[in-house]
Amino acid sequence: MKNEQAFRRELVSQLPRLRRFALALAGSRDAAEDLLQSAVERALRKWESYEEGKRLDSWMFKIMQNLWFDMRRSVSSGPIYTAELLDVAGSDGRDVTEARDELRLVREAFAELPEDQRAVLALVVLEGFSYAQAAEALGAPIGTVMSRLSRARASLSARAVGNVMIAPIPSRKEK
Amino acid sequence: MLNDGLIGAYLDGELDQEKRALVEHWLAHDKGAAARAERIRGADAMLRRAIPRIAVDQADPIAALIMEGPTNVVSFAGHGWIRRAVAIAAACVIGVLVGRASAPSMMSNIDPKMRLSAEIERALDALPSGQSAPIMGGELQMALSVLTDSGALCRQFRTVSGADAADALACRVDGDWRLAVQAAAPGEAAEFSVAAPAGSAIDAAISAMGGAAVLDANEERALIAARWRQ
Repeated sequence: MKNEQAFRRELVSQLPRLRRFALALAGSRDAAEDLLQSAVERALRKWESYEEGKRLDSWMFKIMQNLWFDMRRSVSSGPIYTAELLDVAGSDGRDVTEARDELRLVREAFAELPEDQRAVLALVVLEGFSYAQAAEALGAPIGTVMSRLSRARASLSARAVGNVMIAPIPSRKEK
Repeated sequence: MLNDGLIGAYLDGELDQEKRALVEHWLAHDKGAAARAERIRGADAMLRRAIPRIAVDQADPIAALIMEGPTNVVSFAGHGWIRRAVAIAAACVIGVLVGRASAPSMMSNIDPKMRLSAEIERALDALPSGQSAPIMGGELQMALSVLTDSGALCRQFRTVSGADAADALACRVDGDWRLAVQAAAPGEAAEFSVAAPAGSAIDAAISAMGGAAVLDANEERALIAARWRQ
């Protein structure tokens, strides 16, 4: 993208999605804001390396994923980010944490998933990415994306939807 | 046998026509598989409802960061209080009333002699964040309430009188409100501004107190009811 202002405007338009992905990765609002801000700063420094025609959201998700791993590695001497109950506000200011119990259960179940499973769920289920797009954004093989997705969905549906735990039937591709 | 990965791939539209037809055949003849598919579909739908996109608020500091020039791209590292303030403010649909501190009159420590007028004290006692009250021929706009890391309860507010506006932070000291810092507000007195730039007077005052966590509406309501007794 040759026009920096256009890049910036596009980046702002993507903020709701980027913020949700940051929240999915980081598990808490404060950590998500740290992550999002760091990713934005990096994107602004490197905007000229963004290839026009590519998905900006995918480019940003990859930056966020890499940054998150860096942040996780450096937390031994810094703040510890925990997957606390996700606490998000709706676009109209409505506090969805007060919504129905079932949604609270879903958020709790989601927050308790491993990070890599939250990331793949966020991309495929929340953002509608194809497996190939998710694999590219996460820097993982498609088979890994599929196995993480399968495990994540099994955990989520068992905890949040069904009262009876149903073990997922293993996929041959599962790692 | 139909595994969950295949069911998921089917629901995600990842299968070619042949495999899709095969899965549909299985789902039509295997009640267990059909139930698992419904469970996955249901969990996906609930996840989308449970974790919505978070809209960009006018007070969003990251949107402001993006739209600033490259020379103004600075790290907020160490200013978590600003982020929390803005996040809560956005959630409550209020602005963050932090000025440019063009003519700051600040103290790093709260001076117990800095008493506030009775009108302002009443507003600090009872006015919820995001609301306004008339004072001294002008208006007081309450921004937010915080609990500092040193255990002090503080409230940030703006006073507007004609073209003049000032942002201030008052904290509870020995059961009374004391002015911790005040600073000239941005030029557009009636408008809520985006987050404070690092180094603003109020941010500096908060930092001097070791940081702060913004109280949510329920916490603030409880403190108002308790007359700010912890």
